[in-house]
Amino acid sequence: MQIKRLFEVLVIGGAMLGCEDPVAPVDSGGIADSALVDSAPETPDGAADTSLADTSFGAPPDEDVGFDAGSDAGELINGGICPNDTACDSEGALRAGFECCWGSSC
Amino acid sequence: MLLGLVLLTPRATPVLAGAAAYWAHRERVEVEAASVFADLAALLDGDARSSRASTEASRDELRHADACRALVERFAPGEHAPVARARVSIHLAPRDVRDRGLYGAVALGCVTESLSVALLMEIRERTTDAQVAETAHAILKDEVRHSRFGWAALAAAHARGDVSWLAAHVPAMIAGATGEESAGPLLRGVLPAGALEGHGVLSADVAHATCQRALAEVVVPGLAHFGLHVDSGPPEPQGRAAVRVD
Repeated sequence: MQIKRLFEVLVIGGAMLGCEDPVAPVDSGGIADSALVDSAPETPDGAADTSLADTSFGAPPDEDVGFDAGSDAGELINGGICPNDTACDSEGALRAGFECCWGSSC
Repeated sequence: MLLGLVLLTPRATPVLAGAAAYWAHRERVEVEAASVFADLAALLDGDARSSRASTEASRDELRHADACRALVERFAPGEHAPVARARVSIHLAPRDVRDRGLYGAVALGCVTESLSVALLMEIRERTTDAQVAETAHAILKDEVRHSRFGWAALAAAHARGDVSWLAAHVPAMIAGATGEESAGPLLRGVLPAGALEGHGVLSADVAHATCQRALAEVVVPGLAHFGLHVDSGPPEPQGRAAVRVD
């Protein structure tokens, strides 16, 4: 059970969405996505939490990796908050090799 | 002939009957949640994005109700009549609050749906039934979005101005959300605590502890992040109030 991580997934993830451009369409394919990233906290077992969060509340996430993903979470590359130049192309779509994830332990 | 009928249509075991009763209860709660989100969409009519999100959440809740119904019919076929997919009138926000839309978004999203996420995580972790796990997982994905909707609304309102007026209402929101955190009271005394966990029914103690943790680690600090400080600890569960865990 990782309730403590929900603070980032829900509160921070939602807050980032709430501070986005209010006229941005809800399901704009990435513009409304955000991620919990750069200052990701350490998990109790020392593995970096690379949680990414799809915070678009208009459309379900394309892919769900679940809250309780395996222990290889530290191997994931942190792509940052979408849209950004690292993970997204010029139109805000994810680059190949990146996936959006809403779980707390992706 | 009668014996044959009994053999062909055996009544559900106590465990299955209890599980069916819980999921029937949850089906009703989901339908009511759909109504509440629809009401909230109307309150947020001036904010197209939030109103649309709330409308979609209402549709989500009806889909959740269908998933719960499927479990009811599997655990105890024909024992519980389906809940009508009709709008019901539920008190969403006091009429005299400054911004009923924001109140509703915070009560539903920040409080109720955040607790629901924690409870569903617990259900998913403890169940041994594949369909229950799949149902909990599907609902969980939606509830995460619903919760973020509330936190997004609060963050946006906080960025626009003072939201401290909401602080006085937080205890009522929490009391409302924790009022029916499980069907524990319904089943207490009938089956041993935890007997239904495999079927997705948390014991009252586990449900209560999960809610308290979520309040202490997510909801209360989250609200405090936006200047809404809860002076006293979360109240003990009370009866039905403004919103309920779905």
